[in-house]
Parts: sequence; C-alpha cells; structure tokens
Amino acid sequence: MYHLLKGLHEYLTRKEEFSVIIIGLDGAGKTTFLEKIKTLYNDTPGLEPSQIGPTVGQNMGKVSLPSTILNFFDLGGQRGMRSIWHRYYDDCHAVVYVIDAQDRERLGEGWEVFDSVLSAPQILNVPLLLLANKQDSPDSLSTTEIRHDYDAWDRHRRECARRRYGEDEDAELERRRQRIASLDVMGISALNGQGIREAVDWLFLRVQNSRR
Amino acid sequence: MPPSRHPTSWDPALLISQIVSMQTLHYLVLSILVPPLLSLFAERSALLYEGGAANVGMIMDWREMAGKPTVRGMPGEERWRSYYGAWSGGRRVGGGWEDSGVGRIDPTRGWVIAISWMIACTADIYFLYTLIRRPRLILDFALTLVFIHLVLTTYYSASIPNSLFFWFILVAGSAWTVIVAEQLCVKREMTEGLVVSHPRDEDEEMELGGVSRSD
Repeated sequence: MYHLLKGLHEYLTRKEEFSVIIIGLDGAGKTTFLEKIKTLYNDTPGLEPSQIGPTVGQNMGKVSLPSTILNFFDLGGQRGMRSIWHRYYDDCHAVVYVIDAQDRERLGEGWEVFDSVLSAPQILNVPLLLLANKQDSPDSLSTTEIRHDYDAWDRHRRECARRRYGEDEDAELERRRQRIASLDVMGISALNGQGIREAVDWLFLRVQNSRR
Repeated sequence: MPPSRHPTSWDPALLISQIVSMQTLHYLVLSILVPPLLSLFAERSALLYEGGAANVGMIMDWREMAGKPTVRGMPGEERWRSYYGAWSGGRRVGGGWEDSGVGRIDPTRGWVIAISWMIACTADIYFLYTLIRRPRLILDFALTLVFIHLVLTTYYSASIPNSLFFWFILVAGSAWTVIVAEQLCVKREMTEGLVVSHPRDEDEEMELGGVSRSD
C-alpha cells in the first residue's frame, strides 16, 4: 500500500516534461544562449561565454519551471553536425532557431538551413521560435529587418526556382500554409541576457499544446 | 499519438490486484487449516458455543486467538463500549463472563489459531515469491496484509486488539514472512539476473536507448 500511495502522490504532483531543440548555424550563439538560460533559471550558473567553444554533438540543459520541466537540446551547428538534427525532429516539442543578426554575409546560408528546417514534415506542427541573437552589438539587424531579409530571400529563391523549373512552387506553398503551429521572431542577446526570459516564456506557453 | 503517460512505472491496477490476491490467499489458507485443526484439538463445547469450528470468527476475530471472551459482559451495552463485569465507585464488584459459566475460554483454541496463522504466513512466503517477485516490495505487501487484517478484525470484533499474545503472533508472523521471502527473492535475482523491460515513452528513446529499470 505504501507504493500505491507513493505512486499516487507522485502522479498528482508530477510536472510535464517537454523537449526543446536549439539549432542554427555555427557561431550563432546557441550554446551561449543555453548557458545563459541555465544561469537565469537554475541555482548553479552555466558556463561563461569565454569558456564556450564549438559544440560537438549536443549540450543539454534542464530548466524547472513551476509547473513544467523544459529539456533543452543544443545541437552543434557546424556543417558536419547538421545531419544529426533530423533525428531530433520526431521527439521535440518546440524548435528554437538562432541566427547571428550581425553576420550579414552568412545570412543567406542561414536562410537556406532555416528553410530546410521549416520544410521538414515533422516540424509542421511544432512551435518554432526564430531568435535574432547578438542584439548587444550595434550593427546587428533588428527583428523587422530580419523579417524583411527573409521575405526578400524567399521571394528571390522562388523566382529563381520558377524560372528554372516552372510551376512547382504551388506544392511548396501549400505545404508552407499547412503549418498550424506558431512561428515567431524575437531579438535576444545571449551575452547580456536581454530577451531571454521572454523567449522562454514564449516557449513555455506554446509547448503545452504541442504534441505529446 | 497515443495518450502519453509520464514515464513512471507505477501501475495502480496491478498493485491493488496484488494486494487483494495476497489477502484472499492468506484467508484461504487459514480457512482450510483452522476448522479441521480446531475440531481435532479444541474443546468441543466451548467451540460449539461460538458457532462451531468453521465459524468466520475463528479467523476474523482476534479474541479467539487471544483467549479473550467474545461475549459482552452486561446486557444492553453497545458494541463498542462494553465492559467486563459490574463496576461501582471505580472498583469492580461483580464478575462478568467468568461467572456466567458459558463462553469459557479455551487456551488450546488460541494456540491452534496462532499456529495456523504462522503456517499461513509460511504459505504467504510462497505467494509473495511468485506474485510479488521483487525484494523491494515484499516488506510493503507483508505489512499491508497485516494492516488490512487489523482493520478487518477490529471492525469484526468491534474492539481494538489489546492482547499481547495476538500482537506478538502477528509481528512474529510478518517478520518471518518478510525475512524468508526477501532472502528467497534476492537469491533468485542473483541467479537469474534483472529483467530489463518495461514500456517507455518515445521521448526517452533519444537518451536512454531502451535500457531501463527504474526502482
């Protein structure tokens, strides 16, 4: 009877656990973002930005909110690492895509990778948060500029595709419109913590209705 | 997606059915043992007064094992507030059941029931070994069995057991069950090894890869 009652107590006081994956180009600031979250939400602080190097494999962080537990999986962003991303798509409840808002040269490459993530079928129903990192830098793009830049890139790509391959974009537009989960853009600075709490709140709210 | 359960291994249906099975089997063994032994060894007329060797009270009433009277002393008393004998001014002036001549206490009966209880506890060892296989749960189920029996016997006899002999037999019986059953289960686990399997959510596959045994 003790195990019966103990299990009942644990069942009544349990917290829901959700998994969030953090992906993006290498150098975007994913690990710094994760460590800043750990510093803000846990008792033991995360690593200092100066101690953070390129991620090989994954980093994990567990944040315990009052009613929920969020498991963050920070995946390496180098070109060779991106092949492991798709293994996590099936089991995640939210996706955070981090871009370096001050690195204008690599923006196009970032959009390509972002587009491949967007069009993955497992992620259609999963909330996706686009974070424009490095807002502490004076020459970083703001969220509106990021939006414009992505729209421009998307339009340009579709025009090139139409010129080359004909009318095949309707299928992809259909797929894009099928996305029913949230997609939002936020600006953060992983170095000084600006915007991090809002990002975690956004994730916390939308992950509740994500797939179980 | 199938309805997910938080990845625990708590199964209330299994636990409740195990508790019910253990209790039932224990009473079954007692019911098989007690009537024939009582009719062989206990005093016949005293038995008949209680309703015979196969009376439910022989198992469910702690006073039969303890050698306490099951007759209420004074007429018109409520079940839960009965006194033995006549009292006046704080002193007992009249006897109750001792003087009435009926409902005599038969010590042999108490011993027979106590020995049957110990044999039933030995049978419980086998039941625990087969039904509740893990050493960690043996103590829990043995104590649950005794606890439920205490609740039932208190309710049946409308009195909380206050006989040292009864408590001693219960404690000794459960100690015997727990010690031997745990030893046997541990010995079995040492030779057979742990069984690695129980259903896990897909969430955990990413990290654990299917190997799991949570205690």
